[in-house]
Amino acid sequence: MPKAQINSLRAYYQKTALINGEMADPATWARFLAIREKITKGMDAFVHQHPDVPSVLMKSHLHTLMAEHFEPVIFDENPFFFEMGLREAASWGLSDLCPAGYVRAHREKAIHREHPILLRLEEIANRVYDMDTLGLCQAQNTFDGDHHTLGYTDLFRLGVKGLAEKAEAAAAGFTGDEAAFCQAAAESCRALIRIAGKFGEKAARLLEQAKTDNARKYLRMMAETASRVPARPPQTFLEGLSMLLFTREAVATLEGIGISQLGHVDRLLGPLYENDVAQGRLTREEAAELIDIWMLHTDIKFDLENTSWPETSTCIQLGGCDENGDPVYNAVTRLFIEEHHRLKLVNPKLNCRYNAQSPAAYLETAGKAILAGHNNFVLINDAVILQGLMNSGVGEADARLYVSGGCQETMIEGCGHTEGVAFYASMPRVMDLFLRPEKDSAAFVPVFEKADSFEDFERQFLAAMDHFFSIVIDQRNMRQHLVRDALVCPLFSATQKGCIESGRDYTCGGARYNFSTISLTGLGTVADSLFAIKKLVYEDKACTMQEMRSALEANWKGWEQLRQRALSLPKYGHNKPEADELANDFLRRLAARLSRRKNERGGMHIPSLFVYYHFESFARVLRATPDGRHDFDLISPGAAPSQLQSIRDVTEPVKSMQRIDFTACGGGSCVLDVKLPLSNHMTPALFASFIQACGAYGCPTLQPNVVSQEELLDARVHPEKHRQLIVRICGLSAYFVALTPTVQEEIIARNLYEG
Amino acid sequence: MKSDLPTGTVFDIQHFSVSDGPGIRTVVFLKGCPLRCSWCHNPESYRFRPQLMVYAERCVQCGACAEICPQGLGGLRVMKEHLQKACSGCGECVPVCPANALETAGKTMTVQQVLREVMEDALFYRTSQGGLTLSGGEPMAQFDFTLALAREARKQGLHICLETSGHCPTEHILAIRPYVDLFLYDYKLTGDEAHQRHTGVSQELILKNLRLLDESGTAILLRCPMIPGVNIRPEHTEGIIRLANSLSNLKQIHLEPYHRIGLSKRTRLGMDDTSTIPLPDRTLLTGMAQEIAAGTGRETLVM
Repeated sequence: MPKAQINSLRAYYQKTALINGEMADPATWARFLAIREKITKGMDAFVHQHPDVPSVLMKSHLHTLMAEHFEPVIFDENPFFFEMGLREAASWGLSDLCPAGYVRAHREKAIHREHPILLRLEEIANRVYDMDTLGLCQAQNTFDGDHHTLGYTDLFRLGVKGLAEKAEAAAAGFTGDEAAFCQAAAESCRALIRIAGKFGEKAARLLEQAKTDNARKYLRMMAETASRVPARPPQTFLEGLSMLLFTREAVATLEGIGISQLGHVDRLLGPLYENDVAQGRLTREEAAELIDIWMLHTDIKFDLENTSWPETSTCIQLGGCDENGDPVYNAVTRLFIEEHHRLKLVNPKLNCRYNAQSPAAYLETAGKAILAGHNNFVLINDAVILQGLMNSGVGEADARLYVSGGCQETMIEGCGHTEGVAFYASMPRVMDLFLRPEKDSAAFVPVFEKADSFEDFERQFLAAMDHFFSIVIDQRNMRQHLVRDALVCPLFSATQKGCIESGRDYTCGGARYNFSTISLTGLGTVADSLFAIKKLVYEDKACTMQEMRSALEANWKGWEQLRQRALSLPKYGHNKPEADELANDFLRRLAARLSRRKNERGGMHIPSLFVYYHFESFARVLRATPDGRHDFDLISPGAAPSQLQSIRDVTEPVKSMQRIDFTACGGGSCVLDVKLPLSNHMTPALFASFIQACGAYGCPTLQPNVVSQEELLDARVHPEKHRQLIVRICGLSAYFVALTPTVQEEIIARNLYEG
Repeated sequence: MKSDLPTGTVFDIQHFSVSDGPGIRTVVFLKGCPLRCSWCHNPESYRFRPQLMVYAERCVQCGACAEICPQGLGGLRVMKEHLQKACSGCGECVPVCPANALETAGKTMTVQQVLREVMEDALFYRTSQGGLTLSGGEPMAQFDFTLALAREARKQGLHICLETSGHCPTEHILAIRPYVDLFLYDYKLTGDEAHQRHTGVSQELILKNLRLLDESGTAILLRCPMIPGVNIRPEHTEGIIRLANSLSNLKQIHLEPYHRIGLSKRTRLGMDDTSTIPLPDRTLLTGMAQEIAAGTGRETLVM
């Protein structure tokens, strides 16, 4: 256990933890405010001198000032440089304090003055996103500022200096806005190099005063590395690790965006590791120690044991394939998984890609950790994501480099922003309001009146969904179009293919791909409800539509027999062809409608089946549904079945998945929770076979958990005995005992095997 | 597919089994058994015909089952003596119960129906080198059906395990042998007197069938239920070692610790709950497994 490193990180992040909006340590807070003040004053003066300066150049000047004024934070016995001291502890980029927000705040004021219609659009947005009464959809912001990934592959090829030169060369060929963007990208790249330089200089100064060999060892590593990366492509394993961590942290700090991925580490670092080992300058043990120190900081920044929703949006990607389609699995893959397990880390979350060519040893390595209760993994089926992305028009070589994060949202590395969660939509709530309008809900969801056949009903319901989406998407597009000038990120954009070439920021559609992803929640609940209407109302004529509405209105009270019939119908995800096929058909038609709607960057919308915590928050206002569900009961999560019927065994939902064409989601992430039996007969080899079979059945992303029912139940009664019990649920890796009771119950109820 | 294949009575099809033969398997449990082992964890498999199981704790005493029962049983009266004697297991009452308190153990299925369900898991078998396990009850007691099922499954290229007590006519076991890749063969007790006392049948035929199978070159895995107060004793350990050393095609030995899953099922079937068998000490069994492995050179696992 790297104790010295942990203590040093902890000491700093405890001081910068936020308490009532201020950093815990007054001296650190005062120093932070002083630096921010210098940057703000510098910006005020700049804007005063250049009132008409384009936003991109304002942002790049901000980067220059941040580089000039920040004070590097260096940790004991830690060769990695990444902490600029300009954010609170628990942050992965999104921060209210960080000076990166200057441009946004400044420009938004002006934009609001110029476009009074924004106020009206915001009123609509407030109503659309109203979770307390309408409960139809939810979004964090106008634009998804999270779920970004840097173009690490290009950074490893060109270095930041290479990107700066590329931008400068491009600027010479442009005029106007395009030239300004390229100048800004180059200036921001130079600022990033300067920041690393300051770390290197400080490390060199500290090296002169260092008293122990150990202290000197790490400071020398930092001083040497920071003189080369990120400016130049990394040549060693240490330089590769440094490139990933530094660029992730620094770009997030400079741009104020969430960069959820630390990189496809085994693909990027494998060759550097092999080369170092072959040259005799690195041993396996030394590499393991570097990985340990590199992975530590996230768990320490976030007070995981005392946070009920400890989102860190920090992932690494493993496995899958490279841009030629060759499988990725090497010594670095093993090291990351084994060290993560050995240290019992919660973060970074381990997002493992796999495909039919993945070696058994790879899945066995993951299986060994998972079967030991290290529930930090998701296993992402390449076949589903790659084909889906290609269906959305992504080139094969680009698609092959996809990564996932903050939870499992798909991102095409170095090719733009897929806006992993443009917004979450509650499909069951659309049906609820379609059947039984409330107050002014008809303004968002048309009201059902009459249908002569189920096909007619389903068509009308799809049209209602479409109408609702058009309202949400139109207001988003208009708002985003107006405010995007405030959100520019020339540095992030410089790492994305297409931006420098087109002279446009990624927020303005400059990147190669410009998707927005809509998270559709409650597929099981809505598909089962459609199926119930089909059978009970239109085929068996067990009730009329009016009677069904009355039963729902009464929350099934007095309609128990009808409810029992609804409950006993075939349900999605239970290996019942008729129910699965209806769900598939519905999903395919909905996805096709969504993909026709463009976002403000000219990109298309793709759906994902990814629920996060909305299986609970959407349920709070969702009344009874035709599938037999009562008022406010939970909805089905992600691609998983609802809980109205128990699942016989783990193969049941897996076999259902073969009837659902998840590639219709165009690369959007679809998540199936699976609970594996805690059994001494379940070996890593069997785990690997299970995962490969899931892939062959066309399963989307698997979120496996191996934990006994007894342990979960006991953890609720005796949390003190289960502090280290980790679960990966809703895309989050978390200590079970720290979660809220509702979420704990959901995890227990999702037990797909025992009982 | 041929339509003249026999039908059988199946009481469960369990998917994703990882302890009934190699890889990921589907286990088909056939109803009916000539043995009456005192520790049996599948008491619903004793009889050949379907049986009603009652979850008494769920009963809301609405009387719906009594109303529909062709024999005028039902309600609380289905318990005990009626389940034991009068209930025909027709299952008419099961769907009418609003509380889900009734269940039929055992249903008639064709070979094709069983295979269709088994083949749904084909991809699990392919990636794990798993397959189909025929179990019971005593699958050899529904010989025609079991043979037809094994033969048809073999046509599909499945790896087939047969779990058996070995208590069946010798010609049956030799006839099914070509369609079975691995026999999961029970060895319950050492000594015929004890065997008769605890299972109700003699061991002679069982051991004879085992030797003939071994001589025919068929792969065998010995499954030894370990029951406190019955067979966890040195003589049995020695008996296992002796038997194992006399077999040429024995691949592995499994010690199966007694568990109590069968107890609640006995109650649901209206059977007397007389069992007071304690749970075995795993450490003790691990020691026995080591001793057996050392004495036989065969891999021995505590399951």
